[in-house]
Amino acid sequence: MSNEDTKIEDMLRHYKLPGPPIELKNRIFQSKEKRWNRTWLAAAASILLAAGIGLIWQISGKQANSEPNDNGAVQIELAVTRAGQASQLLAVADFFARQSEGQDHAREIYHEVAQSFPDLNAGIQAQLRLKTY
Amino acid sequence: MREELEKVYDKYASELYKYALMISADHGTAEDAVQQVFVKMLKMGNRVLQIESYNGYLRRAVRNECYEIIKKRNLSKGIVEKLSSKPIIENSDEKEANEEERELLEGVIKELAPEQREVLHMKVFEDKTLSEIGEMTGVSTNTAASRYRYAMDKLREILFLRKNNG
Repeated sequence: MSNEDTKIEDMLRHYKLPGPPIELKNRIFQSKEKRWNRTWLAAAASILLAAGIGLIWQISGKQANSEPNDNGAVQIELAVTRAGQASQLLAVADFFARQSEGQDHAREIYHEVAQSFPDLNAGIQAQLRLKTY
Repeated sequence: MREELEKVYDKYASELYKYALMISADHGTAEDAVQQVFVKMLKMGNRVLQIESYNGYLRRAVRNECYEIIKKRNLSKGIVEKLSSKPIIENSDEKEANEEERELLEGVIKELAPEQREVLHMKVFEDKTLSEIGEMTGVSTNTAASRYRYAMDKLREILFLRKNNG
């Protein structure tokens, strides 16, 4: 081994590798909930969020296309669909919030719910949950 | 059994995590690899007692898990890119912080292949000989030596360039 190699090794030894995060042990030994691999969690969050946003656009489109004189049944149907969608997205965000690796995804979905449904209970709940981050 | 495994975790997790971190150069992969191995052991129940050496078993298991994850994630890079990019080497307490040098070394380490990072880790941070590394990773001493050589050449090349430019 050359002197240069020794110097480089010494230089590297001045650094250390970080250990595991404290929550890793809890995640392995204390969580009774199904453990989600962080890759799957990220993938699931992306899919659910994309699907949720798609439905929000669909509802917005229907609202935009509805005539002011449309009968009450159409308006009620849209309102119910919208409220249901908001509640579902909120439940999804709550699920991610319970996962130790899901906080970022939860925040992203809460944000979407709060922005898209500010007039609904789910939107207000999402705003409140965002304040805890 | 859970309590027994918690003790095993306390004893080995730190070294296993560092080993996985150096192979993968990614905290997410290191966490997942260590987590998967212990979750699998929890599912084994009393069969865990048949393991002769926890150290050897865990190292092999974490290593296999790491390479498996790396292989899978190469196929779905888009998802991996969403993961955090926390530093993989830190300034030690006794060393005066030199962020530029740390970033430079980390950059070179990340450019190496997982097998080269593994050898570098075992040689530099675990003080293993090339013969021991070969034995532990299932390759000949010559292969271990050439992986180490490549890693050192790459480090020297970059550090030499910096010295000349600086």
